[in-house]
Amino acid sequence: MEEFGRRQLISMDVDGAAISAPVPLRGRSKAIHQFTQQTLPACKPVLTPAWVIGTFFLMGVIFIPVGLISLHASQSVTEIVDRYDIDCVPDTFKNNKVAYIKNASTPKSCHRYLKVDKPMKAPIYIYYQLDNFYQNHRRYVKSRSDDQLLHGLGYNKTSSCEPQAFENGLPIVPCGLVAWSLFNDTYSFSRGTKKLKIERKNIAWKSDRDHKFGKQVYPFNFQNGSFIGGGKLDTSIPLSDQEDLIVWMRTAAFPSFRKLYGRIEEDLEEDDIIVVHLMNNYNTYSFGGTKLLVLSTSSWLGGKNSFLGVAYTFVGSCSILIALIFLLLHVKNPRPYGDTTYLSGNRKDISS
Amino acid sequence: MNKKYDLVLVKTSQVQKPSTKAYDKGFNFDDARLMSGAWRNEPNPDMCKEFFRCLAICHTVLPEGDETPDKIRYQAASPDEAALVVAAKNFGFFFYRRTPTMVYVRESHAEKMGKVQDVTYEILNVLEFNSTRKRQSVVCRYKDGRLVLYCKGADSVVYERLGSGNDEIKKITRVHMEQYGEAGLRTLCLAYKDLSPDMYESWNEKFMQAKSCLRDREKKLDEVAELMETDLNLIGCTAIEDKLQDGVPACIETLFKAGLKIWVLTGDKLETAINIAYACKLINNDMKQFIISSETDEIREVENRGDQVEIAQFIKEKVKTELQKYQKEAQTILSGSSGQKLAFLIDGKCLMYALDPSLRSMLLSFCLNCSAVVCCRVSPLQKAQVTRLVRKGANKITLSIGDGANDVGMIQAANIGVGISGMEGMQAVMASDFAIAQFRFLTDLLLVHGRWSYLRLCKVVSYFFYKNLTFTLTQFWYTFQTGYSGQRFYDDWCQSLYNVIFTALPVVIVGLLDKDVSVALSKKYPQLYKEGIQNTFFNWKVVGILALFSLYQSIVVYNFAVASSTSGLTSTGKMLGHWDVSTMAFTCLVITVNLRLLMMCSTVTRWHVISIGGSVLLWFLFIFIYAIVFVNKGTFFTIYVLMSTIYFYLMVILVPICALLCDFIYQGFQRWLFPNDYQIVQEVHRHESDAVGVGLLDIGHQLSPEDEIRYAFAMLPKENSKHTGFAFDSPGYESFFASQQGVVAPQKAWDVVRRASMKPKDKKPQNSQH
Repeated sequence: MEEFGRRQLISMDVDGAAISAPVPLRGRSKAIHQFTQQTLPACKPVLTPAWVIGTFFLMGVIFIPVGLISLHASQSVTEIVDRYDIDCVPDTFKNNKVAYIKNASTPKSCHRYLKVDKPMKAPIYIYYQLDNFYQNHRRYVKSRSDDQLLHGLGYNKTSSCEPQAFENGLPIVPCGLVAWSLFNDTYSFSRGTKKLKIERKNIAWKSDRDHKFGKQVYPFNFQNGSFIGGGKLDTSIPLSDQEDLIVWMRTAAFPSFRKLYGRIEEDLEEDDIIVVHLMNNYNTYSFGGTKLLVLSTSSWLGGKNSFLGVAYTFVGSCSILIALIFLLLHVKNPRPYGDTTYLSGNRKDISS
Repeated sequence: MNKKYDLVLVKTSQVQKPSTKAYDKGFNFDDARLMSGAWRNEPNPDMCKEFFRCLAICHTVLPEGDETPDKIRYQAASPDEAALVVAAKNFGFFFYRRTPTMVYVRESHAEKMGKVQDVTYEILNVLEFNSTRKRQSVVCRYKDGRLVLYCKGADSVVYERLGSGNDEIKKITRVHMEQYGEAGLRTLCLAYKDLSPDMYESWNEKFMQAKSCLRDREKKLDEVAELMETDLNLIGCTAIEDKLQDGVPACIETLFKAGLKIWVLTGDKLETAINIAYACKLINNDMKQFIISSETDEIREVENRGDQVEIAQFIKEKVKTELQKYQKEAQTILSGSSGQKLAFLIDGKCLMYALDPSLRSMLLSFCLNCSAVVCCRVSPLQKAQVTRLVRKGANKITLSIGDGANDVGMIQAANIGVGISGMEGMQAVMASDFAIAQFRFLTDLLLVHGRWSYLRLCKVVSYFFYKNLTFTLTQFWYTFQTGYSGQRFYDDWCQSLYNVIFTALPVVIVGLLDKDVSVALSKKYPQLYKEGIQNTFFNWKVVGILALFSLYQSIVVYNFAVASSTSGLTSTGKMLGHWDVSTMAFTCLVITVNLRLLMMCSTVTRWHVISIGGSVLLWFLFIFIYAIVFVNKGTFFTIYVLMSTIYFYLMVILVPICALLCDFIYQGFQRWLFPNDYQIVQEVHRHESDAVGVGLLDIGHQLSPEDEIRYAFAMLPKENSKHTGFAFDSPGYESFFASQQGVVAPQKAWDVVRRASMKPKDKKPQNSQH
């Protein structure tokens, strides 16, 4: 009966009449009561014109400077991009590039001359960019074994690596299509007669080097099959030090991607001519891919990518614009807030 | 002279003020000509005696408790019946005991003023009440061998069965009954008939045969009863006031404003029904009233001829012509500019023909034009039929509310059944979807809780749709970039936990707590309810707009993440991989989707903040742990890599804002140019505190001792026993503990099932004693 009594009281409470529960509640039970009776203290945000206009103005005021700063950072980055996959094929093979790249006996070396338009401060990052290369294809992404990369031959559940799990009856380390298709074009640079020093260390994320790739794991039975996918690995160096592989194994999200190759640790001056000596080994011809070489400086915001700056500036300016439109509307055509004549019932009366 | 006595009894189930005079519950009648034996001095005391005896004998009431007038309680199927017995008691015919064959009545002043005697009447047959018979009869034998049939029932059925003669009393009674009906009272006719033993014996044989029949027993019993209930002598009529509950007119007026159409389906007479309709402001004098009644001279004339086929055809034809006529009138009124509202009244007999398949559609279309419809003298079956007609025929949402057992059919036929728990038993409540204690709580049920519920459901459903669409679309866009290979954009675990953890709780909180306007305002502006009737918050337009925004947001989230992957994001020149990009996109998505919910809320309580903030935090917590623990996953260390870049933080701010910009603009413009009603009400009262009663709670009132006890009980630690704590369990509760202590609790009819299920341990010894 007590329960019933309480319930009755509560029902009167909900009724909204002046009656309230005669029970003073404290602490926990009060919180529970407020929750169950839905009388929790609440703020009721109502989008008044002042709020809308104010919010937009504030957004504009904050976003535009951020955008401009980001844009500036992006503008400060200098980038040299050079597509070389076509020009590096000798004229005799122009019509049959696949034959050229597959033929081991044809010379693959190639020279490119890059002109530096703006002075570039060290470090200058060397990227290779592949287009139309689906490193995010479902079967490609799957074809690797992270456990094997860490534990080496000790780990043998490498069925996910098919079709590159075993060769000649022996397991492959590192297994899988991702490793198999390792990029193997090489670049070296010289300015005039002087060779530019390229730093190839520390191009992969530290977490990958330290935790993902085993320090005691050495390549084994790699690229030994008849069907060679890409680069070979030095079997005397553990995987954790094979940074080219580590970079390659962090698969890209999109079919057009850049990967870090190395750093030039010298400043390049304006109008310098950089000679690129490259070995055009990697076969992108069979699937219509392209290869580009990218030299780029960087800023605190990364490489040359004006997107963030543009987006911030755009959203900021839009906000200001919208704020102005709202302000104009408010001045020209004010709807008195909380005017009951706008209730749908009343509106009908007005129109009729 | 045939003077006739009428009773006005008040069914005081809802009267709460204790009156200064000590009246019995259910009895509120004072007439010096009748009270305390004064009736003996009236010109025809014998008739009065019959009248009171009829009241005292002709019923199926069970007395309970002490056999003294003060303490006795009557258990009756309907409060009306109990009220009549109480009335008899107050006139000196105190019914105090019933055995299977006997009724014991303590009669005062019956033979002589001031003399009290206990009289027994042998009950020979009970011809029970049902909704088709609309009457109840009892055959009883006096001590001196006199055989009498007492009958009470609806005026229409009793008048059909009266003997010839005594026209004057019939006329007076009819006049009185019309007066009572107009006063909104429920009337019954009382009649009796002296029987000769021979005639009774022959009839009883037939009755017994019918009673032992295996097939169609009900029907045969009715037929046999029909044989006996003829040539009755009218002795008068009773009128019972069925008090409207508190706040019914206000409630109906409010519901009316909320855009609900209210139909009254009642078993009362036409006049009574009209009066009640007036009383609860359903009908007013400005309304054009259309009435189809079977109580016209023409129909009575045809009925007197007695040919059933002819009666049926005649009434049907009449109903048809009237409906057609009314329909035309209604059209002219509605097309006119007077804005006059229509009310339609029909009685059960005509309704029966109007519900005929050939007339049904006409009836429905006409009724839908009327703002108030009253069907009186309808049987429970017809109530259900009418409900079904509106539900199926007009494809409307129907709500039935009733308190009696005769409302069960209609409660079950409607989309929403509401039972009022009260004097008339629990049948309606047990058959209903919602049970309330008083009619006026219907306002709360519909305008407050119903409305909130609708609003919340709409928000929850559309939000679920939105968040999944947005999520899936980002994945969809990615498919185009993967050579259609079906590679997942997000990590498996992120994808699985998206709906389970990262976006689950806030929407539940909104579904529980969101309210656009407060309780008081919901009732102050009943027209807000119309938004629900018009389906404002969940229709193709709403879903379409939501889908568009969802599309836009997914494009923003996805493409912003794509754009960030074209160059290195740190000054160290290192590039992001697939899982870095997807983690970034997922972070942005979770924040966007959760913030979007915040934009949908009308109120923001601390639970909203906790749940929305918590969901985002949970995501970070998850990915912080996940990115460390699983070395062999692509997501290893991604979040730390991302958080080492400034770019990431700028993205996390930019993407949600940019994605929600369109929503924000839309909401601003919508509120500006096409405000919904609730939004205006919000604006009107935006500075008022929402918390009705919350402030009062803290102050604390002086508790009455009773409340203190109740509070103390409520604060006791809850027991897990199934036998305590629930009000309706009390019979079982009593008997359970009583049996523990060796006390035998009085057997109660409704306790049987419970006892059977409880199976007391001492069952066996009890059996052996017998």
